[in-house]
Amino acid sequence: MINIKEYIESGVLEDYLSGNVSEQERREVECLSKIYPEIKAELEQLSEAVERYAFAHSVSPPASLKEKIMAQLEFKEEEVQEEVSIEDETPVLPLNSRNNSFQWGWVAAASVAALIGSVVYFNAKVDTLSQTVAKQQTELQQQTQQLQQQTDLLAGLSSVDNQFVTLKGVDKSPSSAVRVVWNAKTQEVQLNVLSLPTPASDKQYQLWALVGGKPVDLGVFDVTGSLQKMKAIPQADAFAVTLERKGGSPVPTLSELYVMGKVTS
Amino acid sequence: MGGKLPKYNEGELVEMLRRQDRQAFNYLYDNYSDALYGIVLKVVRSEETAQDLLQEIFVKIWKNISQYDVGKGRLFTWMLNIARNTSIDYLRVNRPEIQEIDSAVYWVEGNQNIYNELDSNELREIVSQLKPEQQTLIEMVYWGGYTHEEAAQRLSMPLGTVKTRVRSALRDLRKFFSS
Repeated sequence: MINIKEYIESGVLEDYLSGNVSEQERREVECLSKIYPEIKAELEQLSEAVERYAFAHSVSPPASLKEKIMAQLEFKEEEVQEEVSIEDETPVLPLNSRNNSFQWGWVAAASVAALIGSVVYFNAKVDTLSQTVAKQQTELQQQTQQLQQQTDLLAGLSSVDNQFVTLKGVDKSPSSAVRVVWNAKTQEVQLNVLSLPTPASDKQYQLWALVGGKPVDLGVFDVTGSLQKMKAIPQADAFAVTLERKGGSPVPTLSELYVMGKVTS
Repeated sequence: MGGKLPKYNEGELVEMLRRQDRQAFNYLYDNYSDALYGIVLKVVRSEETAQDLLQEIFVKIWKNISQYDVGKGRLFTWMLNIARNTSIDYLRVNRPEIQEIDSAVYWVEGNQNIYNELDSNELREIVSQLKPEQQTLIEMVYWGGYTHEEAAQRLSMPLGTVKTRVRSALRDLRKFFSS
């Protein structure tokens, strides 16, 4: 564990806010403030102080400036206009000026159109039905596969020394989740993808352990439903997953951080 | 409008800005333009230039809002970075002589003048509790884009002293605001 109090008092957070930090320190601050709420709170309060200081020194620019700026921007307006234009294009038929025989012809044409319409409709219905059957077959296959995976999972999880850490999605991908199973006795780490976006073919997800604030590589993995064995680690404060180039990177790319979870001690 | 702090959910505003919502930009400009203009004006010290730069800054904010990561910090901190970098880039390219002849004395005097014009509202009172020297350091380092080394050179202070004082200035400010 890092000493949070010492870290906060080191002044690195103030330096981070003024841009006076190295690339390594910058990533460290961003990473640690995501893991430790105390650091995040401190950083938040310091930024707020800078913000208030700036607000206390506000100067109003000339009013004309706002329009000048807005003229350079592209806005997406509400799409009300489109509906109006459809209405405009609807042909307007004259109400009088046509005789009776023409109207009968109109009715006949309408009946033919209705007939054609229903044939098209039934054809479409049959198509939909066969699609549904195909879809259900695929679903059944998927479920059988899932059941097998769950059985394997259970077999791999049954040790009493296992600790479960759920890695939750961060801002980049809030719905993502990964479960890490860590056996403190054997130091074994296993991983189960609960939900992660499918990566591009030249990318791979990589698992990291955070030990005393430093990331340690635990190997790359693919998005499958099965339990995957990762590198073992004797000690960890937290686990995190980043998206890296295929084969993994020596250091995590923090802008590609997907999920993260703290080890409860 | 000066000194008014916005009251809204930053996440919502950012979401609306990403959808290129006109109302969101109105809100952003109305709430933040004064604070950002105040900063830029202090860095470049010319109203005309500061107005040009403020245009550039808001266009950048608008175009890059998708890159802002809520998890990494406050919206203002991100915008402050854009404002700071845009102003410094301008100074480096267009008026390198300013960086050369700019003396700490001028900076301090300049700030003193602005201070005399300040209203006595609550925020400003709090800020004025900082020593003038601390205010200069905050403005040079947090807004002016000075590195610790540059600030030390200009103020003829040992580097270690600058580092300690810059940090303690912000820490004091934080204490004033939270008390």
